Amino acid sequence: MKRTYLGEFEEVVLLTVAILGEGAYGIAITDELDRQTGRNVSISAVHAALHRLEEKGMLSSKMGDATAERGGRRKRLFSVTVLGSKTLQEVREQRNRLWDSISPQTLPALGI
Amino acid sequence: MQNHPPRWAERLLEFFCAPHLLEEVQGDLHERYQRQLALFGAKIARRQYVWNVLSFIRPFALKRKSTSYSIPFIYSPIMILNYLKIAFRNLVRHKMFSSLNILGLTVGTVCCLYILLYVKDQFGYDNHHKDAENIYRLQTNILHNGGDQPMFNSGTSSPIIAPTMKKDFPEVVEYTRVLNFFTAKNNLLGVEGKTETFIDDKGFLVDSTFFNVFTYQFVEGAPEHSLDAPYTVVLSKTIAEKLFGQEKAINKRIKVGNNLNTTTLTVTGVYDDSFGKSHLRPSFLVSLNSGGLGEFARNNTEWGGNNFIYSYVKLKPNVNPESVNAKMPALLQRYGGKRLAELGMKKSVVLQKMADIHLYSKGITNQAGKVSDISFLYILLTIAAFIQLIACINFVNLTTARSVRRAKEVGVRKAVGAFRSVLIGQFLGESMLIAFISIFLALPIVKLLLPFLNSLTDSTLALNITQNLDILFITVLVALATGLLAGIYPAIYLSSFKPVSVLKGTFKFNPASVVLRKGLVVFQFSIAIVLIIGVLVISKQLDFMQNKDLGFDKKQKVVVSLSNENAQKHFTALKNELLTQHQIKNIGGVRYYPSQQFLQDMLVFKSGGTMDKGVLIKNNVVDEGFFKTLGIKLIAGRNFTPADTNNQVILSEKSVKDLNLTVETAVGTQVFTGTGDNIEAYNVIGVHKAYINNSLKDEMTPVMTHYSAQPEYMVLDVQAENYESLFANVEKIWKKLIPTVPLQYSFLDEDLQKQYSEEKTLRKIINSFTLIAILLSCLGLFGLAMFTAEQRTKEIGVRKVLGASVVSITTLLSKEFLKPVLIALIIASPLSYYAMNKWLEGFVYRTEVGWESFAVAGIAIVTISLFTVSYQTLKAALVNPVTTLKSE
Repeated sequence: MKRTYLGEFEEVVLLTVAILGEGAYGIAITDELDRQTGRNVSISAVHAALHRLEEKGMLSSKMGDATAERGGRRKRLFSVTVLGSKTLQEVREQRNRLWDSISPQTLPALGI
Repeated sequence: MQNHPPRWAERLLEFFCAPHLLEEVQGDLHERYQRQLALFGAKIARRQYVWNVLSFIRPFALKRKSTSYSIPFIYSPIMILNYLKIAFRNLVRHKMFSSLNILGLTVGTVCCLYILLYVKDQFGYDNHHKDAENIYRLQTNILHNGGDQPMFNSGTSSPIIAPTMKKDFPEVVEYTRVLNFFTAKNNLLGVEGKTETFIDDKGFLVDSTFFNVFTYQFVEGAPEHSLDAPYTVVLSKTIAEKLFGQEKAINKRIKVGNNLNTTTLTVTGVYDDSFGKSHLRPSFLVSLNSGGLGEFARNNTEWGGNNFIYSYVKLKPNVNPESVNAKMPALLQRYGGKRLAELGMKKSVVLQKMADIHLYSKGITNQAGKVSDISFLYILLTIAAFIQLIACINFVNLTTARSVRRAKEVGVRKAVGAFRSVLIGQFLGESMLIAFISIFLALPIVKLLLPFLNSLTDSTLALNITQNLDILFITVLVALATGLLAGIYPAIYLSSFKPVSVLKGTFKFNPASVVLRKGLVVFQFSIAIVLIIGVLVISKQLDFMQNKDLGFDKKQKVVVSLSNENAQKHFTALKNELLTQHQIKNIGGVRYYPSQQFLQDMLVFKSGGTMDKGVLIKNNVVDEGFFKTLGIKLIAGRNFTPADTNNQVILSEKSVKDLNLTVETAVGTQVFTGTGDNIEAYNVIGVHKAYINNSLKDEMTPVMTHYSAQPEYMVLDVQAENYESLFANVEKIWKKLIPTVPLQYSFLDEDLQKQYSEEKTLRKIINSFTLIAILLSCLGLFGLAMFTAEQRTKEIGVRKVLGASVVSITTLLSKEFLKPVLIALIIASPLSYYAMNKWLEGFVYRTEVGWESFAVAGIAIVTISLFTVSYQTLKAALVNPVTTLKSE
């Protein structure tokens, strides 16, 4: 079966949404990404990725609360769908399989 | 307020961002902005905000969300076929309404098309010359005695000015002068060695530089140096064919002039006169390097007077004519200042763009050919637009009135999912269809009526669509504009119906649309009434001018042209011979007979005065019989006798007044003209009663009449039953005395009427348009009456059953239609009163607008409209109520 392709940035964003749980929306995701990976990404890039993931069915969203600092505008809260979590799992298993298949001492040693 | 992100960036975002994403995106950006503001301050926060907004310009944010409903495909062929089918079914089913619509639009389109053809033909004069935009004609304005009204505003100028301009102004590349010499006399043309001649007076004497300024396409010879040598001539193709037939004309010799002083000229070229439209339209061009008048013009050094030649200058590219105009006063002052002061004359010379000559020459006299006027074209275009508007209004009224019939169709279409825009498209398409049908009908009609229409406008237009793509373009444009204008309101109105109310049967007429319909009828009839009053007032003024006492007897006067010196020498002998005819009562000789412009004038002063304080008085020359022949009374002094010379003069009443003399004391005094040693004195021997020599449009001018026994025209006072035998006798006597010149004569009253040809053309045109406007308005009224009668059949049935008479029902229905017509009368009357008063102001001697014009127009329009609706109202009133009421 052809698996939906997940880009690296998409994967990171999807994982961040999972980390944040209930409170995953644009700014929070951007900040969390910054904190977790040290990547300084633009809001638009995150929005684009979220949008794409939602189109692929890996994220679902609903409108949340409005706050004053947003000028009374509501947040769009994202959560990982079943398809999303399955895809994440598959990616992880695949990585694990790949790691397992590497024979010891093949990779140059890092320090000790 | 600083805690707000930049407005423009927000607007930009709102503009490009897809609506379904806008809220979250904007919210996130605001949230980020607030944090940046707290952390880094306003400046950085704002910059960051802008940057973030800009970074959102990417496909996902731009892309609009598709709606969850599927959009029906508007242009599917099946639907278009359906629209066409419905349109044709409607046309065929309601034959009466369709033909009213099509007839109205066709008539309007015929008018519109012809006028557009005519107007288009009037544009584009003199564009075919190379560098046409750099060619200018000198225009002369002369003021006398510090007056503020120009006495003389002419397309001609003194011959010395143009060559001096070329010498002194580096901007002037080339000049050429054109002299309208051959119009002065009846000019005969013939081939040397042959006796046949014909008259042509459209020849010009021109500088050898003529073809350096103007572009002509040569059929024979070449333009370069063609007119350098004296006594050379370049012919138009038309004239060359007349003279030589199919033979080559080049290097042949022709005779030009009257038989006594014929000049022989050598043909050096032939040009195609069908190429381009020009204000000059010459039939042949003679080199100004020849002797006679050419020599006089070339050697003329007069700076003030002698403004008799057309001068053209060609400027360097991109030179502003204003910069040359600004230098003209200094030039005139430098060379002609002394002479102008001597003459008491203020003169200015300005450049007139050559392309403007044909359409923008209002008020400029002495034109080389017939010129048009842009304001006349605007009048025509306005009338055409109004006619077409009336036709469109008919369409709008009939279509909206009948809308109830199509309401169900609209309801059903909307119920099964048609959008309003689709319906608008459908109804607009239908009106376009009708507009194109009427265009197809109008084109052959225009072609058919072309000779008649050309006679109205005095032109020779042709309709050749296959060769003239711009005419096709205009035609299609007219059709599109008409369809749009006529269809847009009905389309919007029809498509606005609510399907629920229509299909439930609770649909009612929108009262606003009824008011609008009435308003449009008022508008139509206002136009028709304005036109009717216009026609009446123009006719009244023409009648007034025809019957106005001009101060002389114009009936049964024949004017014979003594076209050259040969004929003039024989004047006395001719007169004596002719007077033996019992039908000829009197004969008078004259230089400028009534209806002709006085071309000569002089500044005259009484004893003790000087020329710069003189009065500009026109000069005429008559013999002793003139005043008696025309029945002009002498109110003081005596008539001329053959013993008098040029120095005996008779003044007109007006000139006596202008010179500050009195009728009683004028006789026996002397008047003078000239300066220094060059003063000429004239003995006043009489004063004649005022008579109107020129058009009634102009103020009467002061005239001083001299004596001559060799006048240019001969006026015969005849009393004849049979003009044919009279002219046979006159011709016999003429042939005996002057065998070399053909006899040419005209009737004085006809010549007088020719002065008003412009007004007559206007009357003819407005007459036709009025008829059309009335016809169209009535068509519309007829359609509306038909519709109303149909709508109210039940009501009429009930009324009849309850005892209403036919008369009362007819009155009831007619009243409804009379009201808008009466309102139109009230609106149109002051409008036309104002407009016609303005028109009448163009005449010095004028009639009044008069209440009877309004009365006649009012009665006419009411009668016509009553007559129009009466057929329908009577028909409705006469129907047996049983037939209308039994169905329910």
